[in-house]
Parts: sequence; structure tokens; C-alpha cells
Amino acid sequence: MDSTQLLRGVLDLAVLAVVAAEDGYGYDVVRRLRGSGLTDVGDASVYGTLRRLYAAGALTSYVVASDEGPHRKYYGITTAGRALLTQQCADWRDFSTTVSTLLDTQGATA
Amino acid sequence: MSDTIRQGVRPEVEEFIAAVRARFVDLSEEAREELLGGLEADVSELVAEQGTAALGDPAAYADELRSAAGLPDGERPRRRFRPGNVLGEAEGLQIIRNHWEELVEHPRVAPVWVILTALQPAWWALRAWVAAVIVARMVPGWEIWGLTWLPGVHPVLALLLLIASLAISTLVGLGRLWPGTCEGGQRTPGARTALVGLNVLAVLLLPVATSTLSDAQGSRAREVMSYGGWVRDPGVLNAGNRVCNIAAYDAVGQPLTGVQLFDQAGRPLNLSCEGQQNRKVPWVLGDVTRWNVFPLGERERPARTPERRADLEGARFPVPDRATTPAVTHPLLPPVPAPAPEVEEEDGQQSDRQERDKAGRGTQRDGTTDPQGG
Repeated sequence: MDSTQLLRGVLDLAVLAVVAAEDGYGYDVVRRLRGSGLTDVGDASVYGTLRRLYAAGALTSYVVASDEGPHRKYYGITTAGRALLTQQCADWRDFSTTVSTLLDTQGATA
Repeated sequence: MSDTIRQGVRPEVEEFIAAVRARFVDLSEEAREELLGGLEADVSELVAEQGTAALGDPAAYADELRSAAGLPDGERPRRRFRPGNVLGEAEGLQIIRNHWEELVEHPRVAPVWVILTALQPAWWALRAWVAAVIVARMVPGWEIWGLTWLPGVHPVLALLLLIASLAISTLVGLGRLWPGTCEGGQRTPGARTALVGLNVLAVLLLPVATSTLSDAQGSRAREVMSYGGWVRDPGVLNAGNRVCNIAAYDAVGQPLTGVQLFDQAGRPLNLSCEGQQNRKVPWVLGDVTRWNVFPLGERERPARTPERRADLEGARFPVPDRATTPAVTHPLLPPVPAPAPEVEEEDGQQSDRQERDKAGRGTQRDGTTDPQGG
């Protein structure tokens, strides 16, 4: 199965989780997602997701000056974002459990 | 990108960001900056880590960024319209848009579409003009005026109106101005429908606007021709030029004065030249001023007030300069041999006749002055 399709459904959750662990700027978040095993994640998808979550009020952002180059735009999680993360975590666990159970009971080979 | 520093940014990165930015021209400035903010730093870091090869295609990158940011244009759900499907307004519009985009992306259509897209500002200007013309037509009283900018409107007002509609049309075109514009530069379905409707209306009204233009040009031409203000017909024409005075000669080429001319219906010949009453001096027969008696006297300077017209100083009563026209013959009548003594007599009388002519003009001058003075 194309993992990018699966990724699309959980990218919000993954990005929220990464930012909740520690504030980060765009490429930093990408790097941490890839480091966690989501190697196929696209830069632009992550940046777009960050901006969408920011627009939705789940993230806050601030600019940090850099001596080496352009300013970095950092994102942090808001209270609303934490609530969203909790909700989405629960949804994901339910969903993955349901799918895993389905695969087990139908005798699919893992 | 207002929050970034230019130092330390590689040209490849700048170029890449510029190409991505170019894909967001349809968004509002705010939405665009929201999408691009901090991107330079992120892309710079990517390039520092993986080299410029990691940059990829800016268009695909922009589409991915847009799609992930939840901006509907980038998503392009490929749903087809099926009759009977009950669709939301936004969804319906999106499907139409998808069909449209498939059409314009077709290899045969795409090159034409690129040109049409480049001409978009020209359309904004044209529809602004159409709107201004329609407004000008609907306002009563704006009917006939010298056409400079808009038919039927005073030039100063027309220019202001045109500039205003041009500005509005451009702002609407850029997505900066429209009641339905929401945050993120995306229009609401209602606003999009209204905008499409108005654009279609502008196309349909284009012939109305151009016909108004040609009507106004015609009116203006008639207005100019009747500038003197007393008649609308162009008067007497000779080879397309208006006749402003008539010099008459008799059969042997002698100038005639006091010639009364009438048309086939017995109406006095009315030359009605521009400024005729200011420049010419009429004859007076009896107590009546006659404009159909020729040649009319001429003034050195136009007399624009009745007082000036009464004053005949500077009026000239022209001696026709072609008094030596050859003898006239009629093609249907055999030439009548003139008796030799008569010819001699006539030659001898020529100077006398000129003297009489001068006297005749003197009478005209006197005759003209008297009734006007009284």
C-alpha cells in the first residue's frame, strides 16, 4: 500500500505530537518526523500542515532570529491543540485497534 | 517573507521560493505570506543538508504545500457531476472548476490558455470600461457630450469614473476586493457565482457599450456640424465642402452682385456655415435681412455679439477674383453670333460696370446698416 496515502490521514496527529513534545520550526519538524520512521513525509506537506493547524488555532508561532541566515518560524502547541491531539490520539488508537482486530479475525497474514 | 533576512540565502533557494510564490498569485497577500513565512529558512536548511538536488519541482512543491494547508484550489477533488446528485454550492463550483482545469490543461488548449491568462488584466480594464459605459447610460442627463473617455459624460467626470471602475475591477481581479472574500484569499461560493455572473454580463453588454460608443460618435459628429446652433443640416455642399459664400457671374464673365438664390421649392438658399452670422454681412432688401443674396459681405474679424454685428467697420464686400471667366455657351442652343458693335460697346462699358458694382455694394452697406441701426 502506498504509505503516502496512509500518512495523509495521520499527518495532523503526527505533527501535533512532534510539536507537543517540543517547539520546532518547519524543517526541524520534518527531520523529527523522518527520524521517527516516517521517512516518506514530504517537506511541503509538513509545512502546509503546520500552517493549517496554526490557522485553526491548534498551534502558535513565533519568529526566532538566526545569525546564519533567514529567521526561523517556530511553532508551539496551544491548549486547543493539546485537546485536539488528545482527541485524535484516542481516535487513532480506536481505529488502529479496529483494523488490527479485523485483520486478525479475517485470518489475513500480517 | 517580511520576517526574513536576505543574508546567507543561496540564490537557488531564492529562485525556488520565488517560483513557489508565483504559484500563489491568486491568494491574498496575507494568505501568501502566511504560507511562505519561514519557508526560506526551512528550505535553506534542507539545501545545506542535502544540496540543491533536494529542491525538486517548485510547482509540485507549491501544490503540495497548498494542499496540505487546506486551500481548496490545490486539492482538486476529481469528482464528476452526475445528474441527480445533490451537491453543495461550493462542491458544484469545484466540480465545474475541475472540468475547466482539465480543459485548459489539455495539450492543445494549454498554449492558448497561457496567452489568455497573460491578457487577464486587459479583460479587467475592458470590463471596467463596459461597467462605466453602462453606468453612464443609466444616469439621466448624461446624454450628448463631446466624447473623450466615455460616451455622453463630461470628460472630467468620465475620466474619474473610468479610473474608479478600473481600480475596482483590478482589485476584484486580484482578489483584494469583493464582499465575499474571506480570510485566506478564497471566495465564498456565493461571491464566486456572482463574479462569474457579472463577468458573463460584462461580455454580453460589450456590444451595447460599443454601440453606445458609435452612437455617441455619430451624435458628436452631427453636433460639430451644427455647432452654430441654428440648424442640424450641413447646409449647401460643394464636392463635400460646405459652401459659405457664392460668387455669381453673368454669361460674359462679369461679376453679379445682389443675386437672390432659391432652391427648387422656392425656399431661400440657406448656406448655414459655421459662424455664418458672425462672419458674414447679409443683404437687406426692403427692411428684411436676406441671407440668400450673394455675394455676402465678409468681416475681417468675427462679430460675436449683436452690437458688433451692427457695426460694419471692418466688413469687406469681396470683389470676385475670377471675373474673367470665358463666355458661357449652352450645349443645346446654337451660339448666337454677337454683333461686332455690341462687343465693342460692352468692352468699353466694362470699367463703367465695375464702377456701378462698387456703387451697388455701397447700397448694400447702407441698406444693411440702416435697419440694424434702427
